[in-house]
Amino acid sequence: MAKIEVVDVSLEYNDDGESFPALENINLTIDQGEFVCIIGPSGCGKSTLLSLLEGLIFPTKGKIMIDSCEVRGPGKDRCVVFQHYSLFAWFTAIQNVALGVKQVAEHLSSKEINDISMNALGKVGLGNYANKYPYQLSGGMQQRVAIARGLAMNPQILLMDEPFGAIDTRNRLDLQDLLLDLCAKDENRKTVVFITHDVDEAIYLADRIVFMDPKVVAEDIKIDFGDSRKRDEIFASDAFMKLQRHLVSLFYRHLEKNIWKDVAL
Amino acid sequence: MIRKFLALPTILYFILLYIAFTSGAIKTDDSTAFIVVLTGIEMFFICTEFKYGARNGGNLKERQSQNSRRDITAIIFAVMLWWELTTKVFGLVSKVLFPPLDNVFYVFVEDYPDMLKGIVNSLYLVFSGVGSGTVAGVAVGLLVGWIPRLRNTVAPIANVVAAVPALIYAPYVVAVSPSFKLASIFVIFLGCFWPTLMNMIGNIAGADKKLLDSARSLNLGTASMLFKVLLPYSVYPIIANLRIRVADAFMVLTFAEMIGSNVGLGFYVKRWSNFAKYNKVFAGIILIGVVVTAINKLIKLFENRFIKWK
Ligand SMILES: Nc1ncnc2c1ncn2[C@@H]1O[C@H](COP(=O)(O)OP(=O)(O)OP(=O)(O)O)[C@@H](O)[C@H]1O
Ligand SMILES: [Mg+2]
Repeated sequence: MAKIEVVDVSLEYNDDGESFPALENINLTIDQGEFVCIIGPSGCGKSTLLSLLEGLIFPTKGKIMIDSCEVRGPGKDRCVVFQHYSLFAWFTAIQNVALGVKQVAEHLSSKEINDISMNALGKVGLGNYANKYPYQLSGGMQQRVAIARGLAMNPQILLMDEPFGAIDTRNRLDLQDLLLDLCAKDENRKTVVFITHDVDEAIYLADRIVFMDPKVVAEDIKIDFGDSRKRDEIFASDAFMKLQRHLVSLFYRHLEKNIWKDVAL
Repeated sequence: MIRKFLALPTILYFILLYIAFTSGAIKTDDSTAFIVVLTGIEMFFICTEFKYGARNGGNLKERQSQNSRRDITAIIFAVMLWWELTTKVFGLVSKVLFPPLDNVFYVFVEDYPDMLKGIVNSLYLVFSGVGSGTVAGVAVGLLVGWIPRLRNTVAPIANVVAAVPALIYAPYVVAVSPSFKLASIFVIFLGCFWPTLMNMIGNIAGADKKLLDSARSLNLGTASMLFKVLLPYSVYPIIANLRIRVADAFMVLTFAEMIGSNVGLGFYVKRWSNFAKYNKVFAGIILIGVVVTAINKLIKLFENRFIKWK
């Protein structure tokens, strides 16, 4: 069963009568439980695509379906972690997380909601910062609170826009593994659409990498390292290096003198 | 140490003190009140000078604010000195139109029961009017700002109504109302409600798109959206607006009292200017300034105490 279908989608931004095409005829099908990484040069429309999936904006042409229903707005089955920090300045870290949890778990008592939120903050390494206001946290910490909120809300579809961009190496690696754990291969796997600028991160995390080049899907690459998620093994493997070279070369392919010679897969 | 005492404000203070204690070209009322005020200002200045002054290890920010405190004190004293020289010392101007400061401050001793009653009355009217006007303006603005259809209807109307100053229709409202109290509360309410409504609609219509997106993506219901996101988001603009509304309310009130009241700060000023007792007029004006400043300080205190985020 297909989970997310993007059918012939085009999107134009309209500013003061001037229209700017950000996406052109995108077709993309993401299966339930798939972990898809979207990479591509800055400004190619990745965040735009994610906003469409969330239902914050609507396509000018074509349609977006989730479980065969057209997307008409944000829904409880989906949750976004934005590229920019998206916490409410007037709530503490835990209140920010709890507010999200409350919307998807109305039947829970406030104690249970609090426990879930605390747990999520612990997982992203911010257990000791639960009662701090966003202005008291660093940029990367704020981003981790936003991630904790996304995880605690436990949605069927997780949409993440460069979530680890502002986070230090160690926390970044921990969070990658945390994310993989949460989306582990079980019956009811989450579908994840994950935007990143980091080629290594994409290869390590994804089942599939979608490379966007201005406005269109330029390449769609399946990744399969089996069930092994041993970082050192994967990173040392030939397949990994080949992929890495190929993806980097995609960023350079419009240059005449391409120092990254295209590697055929 | 010596230099601290020889700072300009202190020199001016001693000159003023000398003038207060001696009699000049014009005979004045008892100067005690004036001396108390002078000494109060000087004491405050000296105390802060010792606490934050350049050589007492205050940090940069404290030293800077102490510098401006010194300048302000000097300016106040300089103006007072100029005033005293032209009036009391040399008697260059009319004693009635330009009363010596000794006489102005003596009013606070002479008239304090009247003034106190005036403060209580005026504050009651201002608090009722601004309080209800702000609450109503914020509540209506929140809802109207959030629902596009309401906004598009109400905003243009509010725009026109808010553009008419309350001072314009104050005389009419006072004339048709059964009691002055009701009339002035109502005028202050209106004078506060419309601008607050406009302000609130503006806050919400212009709210950060990223903030709204992140709230929408959490699937917040309308109530949560209004009270957990938009209301806290607008708190700082609401407080900034409140400050202006309080100052405005005093203007409207003073004006209204001049038409139809027999008690209150505005009435006090009006009455004594009818009797050409300008020392009392001056005292009344100073009192209103002090009261408004005190209210603003109170709002600031409230803000620091209850708003823990930035
Ligand atoms: N609200 C908007 N109004 C008009 N144009 C926009 C708007 N948002 C984005 N764009 C334009 O759409 C294009 C795609 O933007 P988008 O944010 O999707 O890029 P991106 O791939 O996420 O880039 P990055 O990797 O830098 O985040 C850009 O060229 C940008 O100028
Ligand atoms: Mg982006």
